[in-house]
Amino acid sequence: MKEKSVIEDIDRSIYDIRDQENDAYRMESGLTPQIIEKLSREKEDPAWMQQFRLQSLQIYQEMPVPNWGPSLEGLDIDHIATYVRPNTNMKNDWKNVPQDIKDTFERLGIPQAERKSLAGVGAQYDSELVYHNVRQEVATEGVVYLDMESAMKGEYADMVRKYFMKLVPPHDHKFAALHGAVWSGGSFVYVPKGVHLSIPLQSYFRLNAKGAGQFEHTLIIVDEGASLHFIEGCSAPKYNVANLHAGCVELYVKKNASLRYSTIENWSKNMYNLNTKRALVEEGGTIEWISGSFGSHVGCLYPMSILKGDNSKMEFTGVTFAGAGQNLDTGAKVVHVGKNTSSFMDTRSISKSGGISTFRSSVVVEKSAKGTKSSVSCQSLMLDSDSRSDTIPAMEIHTKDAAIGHEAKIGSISGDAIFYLMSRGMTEEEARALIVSGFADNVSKELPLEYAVEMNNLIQLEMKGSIG
Amino acid sequence: MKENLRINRLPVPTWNRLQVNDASVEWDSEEAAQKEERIAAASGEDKKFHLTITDQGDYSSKKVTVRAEKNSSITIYEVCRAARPLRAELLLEALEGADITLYQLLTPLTRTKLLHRVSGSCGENSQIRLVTAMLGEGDIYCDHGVELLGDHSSLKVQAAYLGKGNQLLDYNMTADHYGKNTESEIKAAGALKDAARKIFRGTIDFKKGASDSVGSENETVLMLSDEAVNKTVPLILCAEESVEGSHGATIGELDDETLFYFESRGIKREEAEKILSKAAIKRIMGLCGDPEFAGQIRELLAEEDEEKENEAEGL
Repeated sequence: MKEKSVIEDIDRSIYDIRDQENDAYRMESGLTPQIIEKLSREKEDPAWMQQFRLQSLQIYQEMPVPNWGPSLEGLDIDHIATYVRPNTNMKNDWKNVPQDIKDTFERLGIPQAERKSLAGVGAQYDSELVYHNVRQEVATEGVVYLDMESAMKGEYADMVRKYFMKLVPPHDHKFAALHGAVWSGGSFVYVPKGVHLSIPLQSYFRLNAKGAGQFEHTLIIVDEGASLHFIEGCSAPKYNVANLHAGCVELYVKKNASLRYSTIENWSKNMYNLNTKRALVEEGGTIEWISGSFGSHVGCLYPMSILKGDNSKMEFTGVTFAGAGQNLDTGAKVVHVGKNTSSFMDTRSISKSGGISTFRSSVVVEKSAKGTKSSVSCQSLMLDSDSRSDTIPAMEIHTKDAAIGHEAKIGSISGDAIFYLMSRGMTEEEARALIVSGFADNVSKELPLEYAVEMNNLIQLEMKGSIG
Repeated sequence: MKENLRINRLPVPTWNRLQVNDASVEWDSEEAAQKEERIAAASGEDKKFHLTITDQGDYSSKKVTVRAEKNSSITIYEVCRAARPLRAELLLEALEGADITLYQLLTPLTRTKLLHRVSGSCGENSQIRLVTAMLGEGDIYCDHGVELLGDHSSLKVQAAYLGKGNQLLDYNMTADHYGKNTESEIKAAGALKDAARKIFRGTIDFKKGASDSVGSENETVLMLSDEAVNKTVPLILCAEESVEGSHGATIGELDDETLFYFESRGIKREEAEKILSKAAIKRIMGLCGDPEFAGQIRELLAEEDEEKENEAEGL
């Protein structure tokens, strides 16, 4: 019988197509000082970076696996290839990118999006960027958008060294240390004082190699009074062995600057996504996180904002969809340090077909943060009783001069709402898909149109076959 | 021999840095003089008990088993006073159609600690009600949990506190929903003065099969000092589709609207804070319906006022 669905024309295979592995170089699996030195030589690191990598490796080996959160038992780091170099160097014209890789990014819609609505694009394939370009008019305003390796060695080498893994130091947690040891690829963005980018920059990360890890590093500095919208996308084909993503994002939002960081994460369902994202916000600055988590087998993702400057702000808007075989532990953290700072978290999570979604948050208000206002709202939707949904928020308050609010709700789709939609001609599946899309509209309405459409498609795709 | 007890565990741990996953308390089990007592109500009976638990030397402990047979009702007024480390444990069992209501006044002296544990289970159509007032100046650790095993069983919790000095109030409450159509409500409220520290952990755990159950938890914290520290960790764990769970928390100082209300009636901020700091505790006095128990709370609150006046007069 034909499956009735509003999403019949959506084809998940665009994410799942595997290219033949034509790697130029694949580092042997495992983690030893010799492998790290070899990686560092391959990447022609400056001397300080090689030292940094080795120190990070030592920290990684000394630190225990976290005793909270989803189980990481299926992840054997000794069988993960930490560096896979594609068979090309970086290009700034899609015509020069090898056909198979170019086809992959075409299917994902990256070059089209670049032409239509982006100020610059970085495309990473396995461990290295294969394409990086920024529009001329944006470059003339002094905006720097480079791959991390070029930034580390060129004109911005001192700036990179000053900020690199200072916000997320290797001893922060085990996988930050791992990142420090084996990082490769990623982007460096510097927006000069007073420059406002009206259209976003985007980095897209594609992991094609089986049993490999991706460890890109994103460093963004938005200088005083400037503004930027940065979009990050990621996907991978599915394999029957574990892949690992342990990227790191460090964002510096200077005085009166603003940064919106949007992510649509659609890793394959064999991926361990152990990413770390953190922002330091100076006086009057604003950080906005927009986050959609759909993929991965196991995900641990809690973007953190440090509101250091007086009157700085943070907003986090997120949606997590955990389907069969997924354990997605997501949320956000904020530390209020400056006076009159404010934070707002609005999250939705959906669990279906045995998926586990956990909302985890922490709001810390330091004694210095007089006049803090913080509000957290999380809502969870359970679509069946094979799934699981947990909320684990924490608040730590060290001053009386603060107003902290928190609310959470958990429940299922109302039978009345389904009946109402079905009485207007929808099938039950269509009704449920529509309600779930509406439930997640806190994120979709904050995304540029193309990405909101992609997100809704992903939700409808996940809802396919959810009846019976 | 002294050992570190790990108590007040969160059912699902979170970041270690927050130091809320459990509490570590030094305890000497060898020193402990343990006493046991049993309280029961036969089927259809309606009984009231007064229970006073005090320390019997260093590291003493007492265990009380409470059993309410079918369709019976037990109300207990428990006062725990500790001048030296004391551990009290109550095991509550409410069989089908039974009610157990436990009013508690926990009041340790400065530099001592009081560990209090309540483990309860509810049969079909039964109810457990826990009403806890935390006063005193010493550290209080409450590790309370109730299993709603029977269909249509319910748990109602009200916890009130007034933290002062260097007092630590470490409160952990877990409501495990197993039965269908079960209901839990956890309410906590209080004020923190001086350098008091408080951790509230509240967990509503909907187990698979607990369909059509409802759980809610709420905490309101009035912060009266910049030296005080508040931690609030309200969890909802859910393995069942057709349930409704909610939690909320409000933390901060006296809000402008409330302050305006008081000031418009000629009451200044300091006086308004004094009134509100005791409001949650006084609510329990009103609820308990027992003059003796309410009198003991009133006495402690009066001592508090006296101390305040002495402080003001520099005595």
